[in-house]
Amino acid sequence: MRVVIGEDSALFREGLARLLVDAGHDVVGKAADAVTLLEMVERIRPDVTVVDVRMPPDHTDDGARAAARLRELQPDLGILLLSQHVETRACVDLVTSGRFGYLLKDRVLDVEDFLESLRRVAAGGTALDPQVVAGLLGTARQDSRTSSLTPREHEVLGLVAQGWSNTGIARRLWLAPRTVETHVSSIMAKLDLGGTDETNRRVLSVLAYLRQPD
Amino acid sequence: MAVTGTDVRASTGALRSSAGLPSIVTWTRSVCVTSAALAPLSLLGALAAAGGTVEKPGFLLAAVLLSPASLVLGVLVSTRRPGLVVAPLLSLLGLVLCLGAATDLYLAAAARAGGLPWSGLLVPLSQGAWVWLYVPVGLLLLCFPDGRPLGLPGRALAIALPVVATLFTALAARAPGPFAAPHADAPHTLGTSGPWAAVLAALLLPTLLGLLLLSGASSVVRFRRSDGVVRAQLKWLFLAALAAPAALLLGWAGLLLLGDPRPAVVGVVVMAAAVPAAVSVALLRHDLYDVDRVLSATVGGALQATAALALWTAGTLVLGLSTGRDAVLVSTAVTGAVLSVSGPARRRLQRQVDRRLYPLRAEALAAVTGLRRRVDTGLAEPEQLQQVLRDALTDPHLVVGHVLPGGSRPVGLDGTEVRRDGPHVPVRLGGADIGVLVVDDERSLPALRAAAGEAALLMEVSRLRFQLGSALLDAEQSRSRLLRAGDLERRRVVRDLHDGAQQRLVALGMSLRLAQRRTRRDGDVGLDLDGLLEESVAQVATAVGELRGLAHGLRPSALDDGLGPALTTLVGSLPIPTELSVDECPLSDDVTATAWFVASEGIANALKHAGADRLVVTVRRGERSVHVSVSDDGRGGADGSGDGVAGLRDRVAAAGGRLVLDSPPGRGTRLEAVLPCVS
Repeated sequence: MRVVIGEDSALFREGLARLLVDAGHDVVGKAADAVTLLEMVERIRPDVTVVDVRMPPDHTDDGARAAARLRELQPDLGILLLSQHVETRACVDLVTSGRFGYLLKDRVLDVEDFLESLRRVAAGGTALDPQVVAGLLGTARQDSRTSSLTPREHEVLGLVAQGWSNTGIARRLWLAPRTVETHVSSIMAKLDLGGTDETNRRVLSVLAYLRQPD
Repeated sequence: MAVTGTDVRASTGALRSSAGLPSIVTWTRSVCVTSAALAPLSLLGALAAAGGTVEKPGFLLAAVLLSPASLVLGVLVSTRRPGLVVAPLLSLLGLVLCLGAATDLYLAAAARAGGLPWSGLLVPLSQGAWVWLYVPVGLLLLCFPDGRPLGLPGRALAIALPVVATLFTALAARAPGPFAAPHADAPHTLGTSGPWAAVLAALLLPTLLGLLLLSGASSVVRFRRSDGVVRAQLKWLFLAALAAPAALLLGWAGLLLLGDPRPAVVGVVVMAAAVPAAVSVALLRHDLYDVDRVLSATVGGALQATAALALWTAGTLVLGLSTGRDAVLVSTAVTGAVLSVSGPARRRLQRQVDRRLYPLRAEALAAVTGLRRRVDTGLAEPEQLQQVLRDALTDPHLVVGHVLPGGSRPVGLDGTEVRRDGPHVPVRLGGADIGVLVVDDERSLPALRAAAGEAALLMEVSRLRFQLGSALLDAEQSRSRLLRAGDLERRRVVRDLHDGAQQRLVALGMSLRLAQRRTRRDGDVGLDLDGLLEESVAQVATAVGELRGLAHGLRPSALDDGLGPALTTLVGSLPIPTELSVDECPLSDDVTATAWFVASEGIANALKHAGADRLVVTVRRGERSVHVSVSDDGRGGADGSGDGVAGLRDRVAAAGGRLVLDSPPGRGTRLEAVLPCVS
C-alpha cells in the first residue's frame, strides 16, 4: 500500500514509517503539519493516509479537519486518524462513512492489529478503537436493549463494532468462522437489526444502534 | 453678562418710549453719585445753619441711620448695572430722607432765628413733603427688577404716584389754618385755598395708599407671570417687604413686655435697610444666597413669633384676670408653657411654610424622609435614593455618587465614576466626604443641599453595601480566575504529557517492536539491534527528563529543602547579577510555594520585559508576615494589567496576602508580596 503519514512528532513519524516499511508498505510521503499533508495527499494520491488529530498549525484538531477535507476531495482514500486520547462521540461521527479509522496512538504497538486495521481501512472498511467501542458498549450495557446478549455475544458485538470481519473475529477469539457467523446472526436478530453480510454496513448499523439515545 | 446687557437695553428703550423718565435713564449713574454727595451736604448745611443746635434729634437720627444704605447701594448698583432705573430710585429714597431731615433742621433753626433765607417758602412746602418718601418706594415696586413698569397699568401708576404727591404737597402748602408746630405763626407765603383744599388733601392720602397697594400688587402680578431669575429677584424684594409685619410684631411685643411700642422703630430701621439691601442683592447676586430658604425661614419664624406672642398675650390676660396673682409668677408660667409648646410646633409650622414657599426643598426633604421611613421598615432599599431624588426634583439626570472608603473619587452604584464638573452638592457624614449629589439645573441646588443632610445616613448605608458587594464580586472574580488558571495549568500538563513523555514512550515502544520483528524474521542480532537499543535508552532518558521538568513546573522539588536553597538555585542560573537575601524562617508549605511563585514570576518578568542589568530578590520576615520582593533597575512602567500579575495577585490573595507593584517609568520595577505567616 502507498501510505502518506501526517504527524508532527518526528520521533513518532519516523518510527511509524520504519514500521510500515518493515511491513512491506510504501511510505510515499511524510507531512509534519496539516497544510503540507493536504497538499501532499492531493499530489501523491496514496491508498491510505495515517493522520495525527493534533497537528500544526493550530495544534487543536487540524488533523481531523484535514481528514474531513480529504474525504470530500478523494472519496476512495482510506483515512486512519490517530489520537493521543479518546473523544468517543466525535470520532464515531468520522467513521460512519466508511474508509475511516480512529485509533489511539498506543495501538501502533500492537503492530499486527494496527497493520490489519490499516489494511481494512484502505480496503473500504472501518477501524474503531476498542476503547471507543468499550465506551459505547458500556453505556449500552446499562440499558435493556443488550441485556439479552450472552457474554460471548457481547464480545463479538464489540469486535463487530470495531470493524472486524467474521474471519478476523474468528481468528481473534480462537473460534470457527461458522460459530462467529451464528453469534452475529443471533446478535442481529436480538437487536432487530436485519442481517447483512457486508462488513462495513454491518458495522455502521451496529454503531448507529449503539449510539441511539436510550 | 450678555443677557444682562440685553435686558438693560430693552428696558431703556421701553422707558424712553413710555414712562416719560428718559433723562433719568441716561443719567442713572450721575443721579446716584449726585444724590450720594448732595444728601450729606444738605444735612451738614442745615446743621451749620442751625448752629449745631438739634432740638428734636429723631428725624436727623433716622436720616443718618437709614439713608447711607440706600445711597451707597444706589451708587453700587448704578455702577454694576448702568442704565437701570432701579439704582436712582434707591438713591432718591436716601436723598429724600436726608432732604426731609435737613429741611426739618433748617426750618427749626429759622423758627428760632425768626427767619432764614428761603424759610418763608420752605415752611408751606414742607407741610406735605413727607409723602415723597413713598414715591421712590412705590416706583421701586413698579420698576423692579428690570426697570420697566408692568404694562399700561404699571406705567399709569408710575405717572400717578409723583402726580399725586405733587398735588398733595401743593394742597398742604395752601391749606388754610396755622401750620404744624413750630411754624404755627409762619405766614402763608404761597397763599391759602378754601377749606376744600384740606378736604381734597385728606382724600388724596387714601388715593396714595391705594396707589402704593396697587404698586405692590403689580409686583405680585409680575412674579406670577415670570419665572427663573426674575422670580428669584422678586423674592428678595418680598423678603425685604416682610420687614413691615416684623416692625408691627416688634411694636406688639414692645407693648406687651415694656408697655411701649417704640421697638417698632427698630423694625422700621430694619425695613429701611432691608429694602435697598434686598434690591441690591437681587440685582447683583441673586444666586448667591438661597432666597427661597431665607424667605421660607423668615416667614416661618415670623409666624411662630406671632403665634407665641398671641399665646403669651392670651395666657397672661386670662390667667391674670382669673387669678389676679403676681404678674411675675403668671408671666413665668406662661413663658414656660409657650416655650414648651413652641419647640415641637416649630418643625410642623416650618414644614407647612416650606410647602407653600419652598416647594422644591419641601419636596426633596419629604422624598428623602419618606425613603428613610420605608428603608427602616424594610419596604425600600437605600440604593433607591437616586431615583427618589430624580422624581422629587424632576431631574432625570440627577446622579448620586458615593465616595468609597479608601477612595477619593465618587462612583455611581454601577461602578462608573461620577463627574463633579456640573452643579453638585457634597454629602458629608461625621466630617468625612461620603458622596456627592450632581444635578443638571443649578436651581435644584438649594433643595439638594437640604436633602443632602437627610440623605447622608442612607448614602452611608448604600456606599458600605456597595463596597461590600464589590469586595464580594472581587473575591468571586478572583476565585473564578484561580479556577480558570488551575484548569489552564492542568491542560498544559496534559498537553505536555501527551506531546512529550507519552509520545516518546510510544516511539520507544515502536523501536522495540521493530527490533523484535527484525530479530524474529531475520535472526539478525547485529549492529542494527544495538543501534536501536541505544536509541531506545536515549529516548527513555529524555522521557524521564521531561517528566522531571513537568513535575518541577508543578512544584520544584528544591522547595523541599526550604525557600532559601530553592531561590539560591534559581538565582544561580540567572544571566544577570542578582542579589539574594533570605531571612530563614519556617513557613507553611502554602506560603513557601506562593513565595516561590512570586519570586520566580517576578524574576521571569524582569528578565523578559524590564531590560534590567541587576536584580534584588529579598525574603524578609516581619512580625506576622513575610515580605517577598523582586526589584530591578529596568525600564519600569509596568501597569500590572497583564495575565501574569493578575494570576499572581489572585494566588497571593488566595494565600491571604496582598501584592504591591511599584513601577514608575524609567525607575525600575518592584514587585512585593506580603504574605501572612503564623509563627
